[in-house]
Amino acid sequence: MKLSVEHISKSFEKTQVLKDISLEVKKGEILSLTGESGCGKSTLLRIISGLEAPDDGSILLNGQNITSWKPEKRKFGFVFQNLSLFPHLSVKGNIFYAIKKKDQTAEKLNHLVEMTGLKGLENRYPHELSGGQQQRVALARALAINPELLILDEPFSSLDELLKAKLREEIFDLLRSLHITTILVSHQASDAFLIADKLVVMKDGAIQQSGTPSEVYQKPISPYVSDFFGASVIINAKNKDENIVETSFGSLKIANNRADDFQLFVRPENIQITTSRDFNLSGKVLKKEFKGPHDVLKIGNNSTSEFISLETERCPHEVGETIYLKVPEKEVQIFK
Amino acid sequence: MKLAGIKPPRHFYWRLATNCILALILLPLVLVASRSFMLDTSNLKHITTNLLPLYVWNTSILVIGTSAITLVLGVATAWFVTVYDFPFRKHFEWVLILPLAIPTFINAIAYVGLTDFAGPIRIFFRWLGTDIYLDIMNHTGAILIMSLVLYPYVYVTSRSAFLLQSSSLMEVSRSLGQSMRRTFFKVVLPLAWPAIFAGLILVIMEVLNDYGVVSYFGIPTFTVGIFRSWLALGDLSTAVFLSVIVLTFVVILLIIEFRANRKKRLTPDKAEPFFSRLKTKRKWLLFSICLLPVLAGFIIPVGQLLWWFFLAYTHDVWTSLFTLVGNTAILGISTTLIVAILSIILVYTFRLVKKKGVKKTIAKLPMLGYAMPGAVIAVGIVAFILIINPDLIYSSILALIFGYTVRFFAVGYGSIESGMEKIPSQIDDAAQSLGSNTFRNLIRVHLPVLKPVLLGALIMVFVDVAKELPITLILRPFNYETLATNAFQYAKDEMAPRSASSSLLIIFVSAIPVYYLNRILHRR
Repeated sequence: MKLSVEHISKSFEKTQVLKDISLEVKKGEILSLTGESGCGKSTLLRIISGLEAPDDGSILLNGQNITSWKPEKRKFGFVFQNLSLFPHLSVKGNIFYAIKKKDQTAEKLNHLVEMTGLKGLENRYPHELSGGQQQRVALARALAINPELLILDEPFSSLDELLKAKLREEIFDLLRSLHITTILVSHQASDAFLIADKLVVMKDGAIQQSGTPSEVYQKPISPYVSDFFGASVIINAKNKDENIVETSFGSLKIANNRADDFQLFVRPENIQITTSRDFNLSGKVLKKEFKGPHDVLKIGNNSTSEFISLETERCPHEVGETIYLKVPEKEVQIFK
Repeated sequence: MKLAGIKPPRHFYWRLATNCILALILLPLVLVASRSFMLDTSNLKHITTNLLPLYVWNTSILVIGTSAITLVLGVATAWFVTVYDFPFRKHFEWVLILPLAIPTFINAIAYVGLTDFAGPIRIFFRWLGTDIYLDIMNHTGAILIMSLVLYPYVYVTSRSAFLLQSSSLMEVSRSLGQSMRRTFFKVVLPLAWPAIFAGLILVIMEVLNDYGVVSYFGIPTFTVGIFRSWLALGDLSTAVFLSVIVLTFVVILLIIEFRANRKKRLTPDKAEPFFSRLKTKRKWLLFSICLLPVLAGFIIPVGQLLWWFFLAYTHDVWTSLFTLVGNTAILGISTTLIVAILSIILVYTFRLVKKKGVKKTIAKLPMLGYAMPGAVIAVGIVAFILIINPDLIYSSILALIFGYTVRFFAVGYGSIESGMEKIPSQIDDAAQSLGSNTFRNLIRVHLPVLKPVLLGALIMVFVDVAKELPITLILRPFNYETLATNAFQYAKDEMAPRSASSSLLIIFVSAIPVYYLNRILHRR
């Protein structure tokens, strides 16, 4: 099984929602599609599942062009954001919805309800279930057809934080153990980190970056991607000398051959607060905010209106003190 | 003893007025029901052995046949218009409701004209050199003719149910490998069924109410039986007996509907915002399927009436029309005003007196009148008048308006009630906290907000009065003609072309609420 999306474009009326999208999912792989809402990820899912037709491009399944196939022929198990359980059918009715009469065995039902943790609820109706249980039914229903590809659209968005964490871990463990090829759409970075083999970040209908979760986290290619996956420190800079970069907080030793202005990016956990001046940034603590497990420092200086917002562990320095920041060269990314 | 301690309950006058109104509206129905215990049994044996089986048989055939056809027509067109993309789809959305503007008996008149010796169909065949004999004045004809103008009830209710359904349910079904057809029967239809059934019940009530078609075609149904026993034989007892049977049937239907509605399971999902209509290769087939009922249920009969109108045109058409319009308008306007005022009092009282359980049932009671066939209500009113004073001439404009009010109260009341529900109750509290009394609140706050709803409700009541036939025939003063009775009389006297002007006018007026219905559909 291999699914390839090739050069897909789509417009609604006059707004283009997808621009030349290409990606690939291999057998057993879990691909996470992320991006802020409105970036086109749901439309892409609908095109992959056949609910929407692309204006351009094609969808290939094992090399066969399935772009014109109706959704019912593709049989991709689709778990919708709003779950869309059939309200007039019981849990059993929902799970067996698409299963032929002769295949509706007690064994199959048992297997599915046990796997998804629905044992004992077979005869309940959707409105008699909790949010988490409804989620499980939606998943069981999609798994029941043995889909070649499982599509999860924002599967946890309707759950509260506490329930979400628990259910998410359980479902992800299940998906892993089943080796089922999956596309997961989420606007939450944590979902993607937890499960994805491959991450695709979308913005304004185009793919910004794709790669493994750690690649995307450590080496984002734009402020959009870096902000999406966690706190980031971004500083304006320009080239001073060979391998020396100047910022308003001091100079850094970084190999670089750009002449014009650019931006330096580094994850805050890679920055160390030190006392040494050499090739470190310096600034004054303007503000210190208590954020539970960590503090957030706002660092600035007199020569610029720019400041660094730094997430750090318990910080011994107080407001007004000057501190020095050690930025390891290998952790720095350069955005143009 | 100190009486001063007893205070009248809150909103005493509102409650009093409401109880009086409820009593008045329900009176004819209660009278019919109670009279059944005091039947004159002398004729009863003759009726039960000779007539009753006939009435039951004929009425059942019409009800079953019309239900089946309206169900297929209404649900299918609603489904196509909601889900598929085909030529003129947007226009069909409202054009499909148009046949509702034609009263069943006027449709019958038009079709008899179309198919008789001088009608265009047989002229055409004679021109081809042959002649065919078409008899539509039978069960099949009656069923078809009624179905063609009643299917919009099912169409409207099904369509609003389809619109409210979350499209993702359909999509999930398809992604699980089920075809559109299977999805329709396994998901869409079961979920929409309570709404579709509500539309079907309206159709059945209309069939039970019908007097024009069946008497014109000579099919003895319950309504015909009630008319015959009262108007021809002066036998109130038999009329009441037959009414009670119809009443029982209607009540059973209402109970079934109530249960169906109670079982309606809530869909937590909202309808998906982006819903692209499905492309289909058979778009011209869908176009034809939707065109058919519009053609047969509106364009053809109206065409026939227009042809007649020009055929029979003389200048004195306008003079007689003037009187007819005047009579109809007086009845319509009086009824409309009374219904509006009484509805407002009722709805407002139920708003002031916030009792959940009882209120819900009582608040639905005035709806009963609309479910009752006009003939039954008319018999109830005759019985009422004869109890007050046996020497009184029961047929009067007052009796007519009373009859209309009972029958069409639900039309005005229903929409005003739903309009009132949309006004948040905090507004009442706010107005009251500013020191305004309940009457002033009603005039200054609620009525202005309700104005558009009120207008819609008034128009619908007016149109229903203009179309009404059975109550008018029983309760009208001697020689008092409305547009409806005029059209009906000419048709019965084999002078159908002269009925065209009245018929066309009724259709024209009735087309106005179609606009409102369409607007309600779009308010999803």
